Amino acid sequence: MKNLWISLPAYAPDYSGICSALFDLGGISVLHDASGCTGNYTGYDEPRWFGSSAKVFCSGLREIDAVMGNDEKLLDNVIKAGSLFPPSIYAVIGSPVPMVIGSDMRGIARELEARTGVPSFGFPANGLRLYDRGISDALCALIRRFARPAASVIPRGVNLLGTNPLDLGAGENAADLEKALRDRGFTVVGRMMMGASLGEVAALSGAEVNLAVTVSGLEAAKLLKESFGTPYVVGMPMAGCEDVFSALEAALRDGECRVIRDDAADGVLIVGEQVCANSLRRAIINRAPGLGVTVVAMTAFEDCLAGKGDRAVPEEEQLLDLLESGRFHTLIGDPVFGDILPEKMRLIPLPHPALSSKLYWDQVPHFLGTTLTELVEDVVNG
Amino acid sequence: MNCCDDVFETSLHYASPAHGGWGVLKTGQLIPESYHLFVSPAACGRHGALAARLENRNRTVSYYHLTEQSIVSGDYEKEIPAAVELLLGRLTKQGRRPRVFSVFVSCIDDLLGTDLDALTDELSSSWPDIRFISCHMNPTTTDTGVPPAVNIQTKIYSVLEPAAEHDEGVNLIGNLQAIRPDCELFPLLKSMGAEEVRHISDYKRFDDYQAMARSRLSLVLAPPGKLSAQQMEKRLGIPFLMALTAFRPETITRTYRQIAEDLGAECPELEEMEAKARDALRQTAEALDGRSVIVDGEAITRPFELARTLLENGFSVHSVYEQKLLPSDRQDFEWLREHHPRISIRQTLHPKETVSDPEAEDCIAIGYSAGYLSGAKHVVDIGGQNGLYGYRGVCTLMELIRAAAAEETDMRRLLEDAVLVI
Repeated sequence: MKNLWISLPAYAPDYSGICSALFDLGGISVLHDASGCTGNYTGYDEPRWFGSSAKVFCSGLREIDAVMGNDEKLLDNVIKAGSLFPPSIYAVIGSPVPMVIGSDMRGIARELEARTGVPSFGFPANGLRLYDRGISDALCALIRRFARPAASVIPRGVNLLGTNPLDLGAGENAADLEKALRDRGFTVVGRMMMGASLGEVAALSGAEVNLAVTVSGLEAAKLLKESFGTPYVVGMPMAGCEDVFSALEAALRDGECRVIRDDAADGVLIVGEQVCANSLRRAIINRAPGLGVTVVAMTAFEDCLAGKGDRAVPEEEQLLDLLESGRFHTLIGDPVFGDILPEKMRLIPLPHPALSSKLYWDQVPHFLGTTLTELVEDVVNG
Repeated sequence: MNCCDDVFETSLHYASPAHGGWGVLKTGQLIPESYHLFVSPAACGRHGALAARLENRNRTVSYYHLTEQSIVSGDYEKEIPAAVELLLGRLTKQGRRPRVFSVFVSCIDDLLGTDLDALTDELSSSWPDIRFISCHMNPTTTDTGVPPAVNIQTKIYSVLEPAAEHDEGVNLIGNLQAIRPDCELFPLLKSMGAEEVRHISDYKRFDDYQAMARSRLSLVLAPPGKLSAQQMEKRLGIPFLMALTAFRPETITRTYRQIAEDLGAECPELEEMEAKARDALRQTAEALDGRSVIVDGEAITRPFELARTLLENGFSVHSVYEQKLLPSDRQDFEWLREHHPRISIRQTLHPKETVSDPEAEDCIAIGYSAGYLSGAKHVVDIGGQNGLYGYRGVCTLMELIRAAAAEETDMRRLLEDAVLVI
C-alpha cells in the first residue's frame, strides 16, 4: 500500500539535511519546531553531534504560538542566542507545523537580517521531503549568496559538492576523497559541506572543475556551471574506481560535464544514494564486465544520473515488490533491508546513515579503501 | 515578576546528545498485546522507529506517511482503515493479532483536526474484537495542562475496563519503569493488606492487564500519572494517593504513613529503614569527602528535593540542571534559593549550555544531561525512568553515586546504551 511503511524507518528529513549542511559554518541554525524534529536531527541524523559545539537549536514552538502566528517570540529568542554567540550566519528552518500554518521562513530570515545585519537564510522545510533535498537547497542558497567570481582560476582546482555524513558517514570518507584528489595532483578549493567555511563558499568559482559526489551536490554543480561555467563530474570513487578521476581529467581537457552511470541489468540490486550506487556499480562492472547490476534509490532519484533500467522506489511496498520479483540474487544496501529480504536473496550490507542512523553509522566503510574493494570482490565471487 | 523568572527564562532550546527519555511510542507500547500505527509526516516517526529498533520494539509499530497532497485533501483519513486492514491481515497470519490498536498522530494533527473519535469508532465497528485508541505525539502542547507525557499515560490506562468488584490490589501509576524489586514498598504494602501490587509492565497479556482495574487504590509515584489516576478514579472507581518518589527520609516515612492510612491499615515500623537510608546518605557524603554532586532534572523527577536531601545530609552540591520548575518541587526550590543561593541552577535546554564548565570535571553528575553538559567525568547511570523509590531507592542511589565516583564514565558509551528519544 502506498505510503504505508510496515517495516522500515523513514529516511532522514529535509530539515536534517539543511542542519547537516550548515554544521561547520559557525552559524546559528534554528529548527522551528516543538522538539521532536530537532530530536530527529540531534539524536539520529547527526553523527557529529556528540562533543560538538555547533549551534543548532530548537525554537520550542508551542500550540499557542502556532495558532496566533507569533513569529516575534522566535525572532527575539534567536537574537538573544546570537548575543551569546555572535554567528557567521543565521538559518531558520521550517518543519511540519510551520508548513501547515504557512510560516514565511524566508520572510522571518529577512526580518532577522534587517534587525541584526547578519546574513540570514530561511528554509521552508516541512519534514515531508528528504535530507538530500535539504542539503541541496542549503548548498544552492549559500552559493547564490556568497560565491563570487574569482580573480583567477586555480590550475587543477576542484570543488567537492555534496559531501555529507548522512550518505558518507562521519568517518574518513570525505578526508579520503580529498587525499585521493591531492594524490592525483588536484587542489581542493571548496568543500561543500563537510569541513566547509564561508570563505571556501566565496572561493568556489576558483575551481576548474566540480565533483558532485552525491545527488545532494548535483544542483550546486549545475548552479556553478550556470554561474561560472565550471564543468562538473558526478561520481564518487567507490572502491577507488579510477573512472571518476579519469572523468575529472577529461572535463579539465574539454570542459564537458560527465556522469558515472551504466545501464541496469538483473542480478545484483544496489539500493542507496544514487551517485555512490552508480559508482559502486561501475567498480563492480569494471571487475566483472558480464555481471548485471541495477541501481534504485528510495531517496532522490535524478533521471539525468540514471542508467537505462534504473528507477526510483520511494515506497517500501515498491522495494518489496522488486526484491520479490526474482530478478536479483544479491542486494547491496543498508542492513535494515534484512527485515524484508526474501529468503533466497543475499544481502551485502552497506550502511546508509540517512536510513539506519546510529544503528550502523559506525560501520560505514571507507568508500575508497580496501573494505569496499573487498565488498566488490564479495559481489563478484558470489 | 515571578520568583523563578530570573532562573527559568524563555529561550531557544539546545538538545544535547544527553537530552531525552522514553518518548510516547515506548510508553504506548507498554499496553500488552498492542500495535501502533503512526499517521504523520515521515519525519515525525523516524526517531521513534530507530529507537524502537535499538531496543527490539520495532515489530509492533508501522507508519503511514502523510504527503503534501494528502494533507491538503484530507484523504488520508479514508486510507487509514485500509492500512489497518492490511496490517491486521498480516498480523493475524503471523499469529500476532493485537488486542489494542493505537493510531498515533503528531503535532500537525492539532491543526488539521482529524476526527479521531469518528475514526476509532469506524475502526471499532469493523473490528469489534480489537480496542482502537488514538494517541498524540504533539510536543507543541508541552506548556499546556495535558502535555504529551501526561496524555500518553491517560491512553495506556484508558483501555482498562471497569471491574465488577475491587480487590485488595494496589496500582503503581506514573512511573513507566517498574520500581526495583528490592524496594521495601512491596513488603510494606503487603503488610498493609495489599495482596497484589500492580504495574503495567507486569503484564504480557491484555486480559491479565485488566487486573489493574480491580485494584482498590492507585499510588501516583511520578507527576505525569496524576491525570490518569484522576480519570481512573472517575471511570473505574479507584481512589488515588499522590505518593511521589522522594529522597528525604522523613518525607518517605510520611508518605508510607499516609499510604497506610489510606489503606486503613496500621503502618509498620519504619524507624530502622529510615535510619539505614540516613546512614547511606551520611556514609556516601563522607566517602565523597567534599567532592560535589550535580543533580539532573531529567533523571530525578524533583531535582530540588534531592538537592535539599543531599545538602541536609552533608553533601556538597555544585549545581542543579532543570528546564522548568514542577509545582511539586517548588517548595524545595525555594528552600535551596534561600539557604544555598550560590548553588548554580542551570536550564538544561538553554543555548548557553553548549559551552561546558571545566570546574565541574571532578564532580559526580546524577543523570545524563547533567553529566554531558557539565563535563563531569563521573556520571551516575540513571535516566528519568530509574525504578528508584523509598528508603531502598535512597540506598541504591547512594551505591550508584559511590560507584560513579570510583571510576571515570565513558559518556559516549553511556548515551549509546541509554537510547534516548525527544
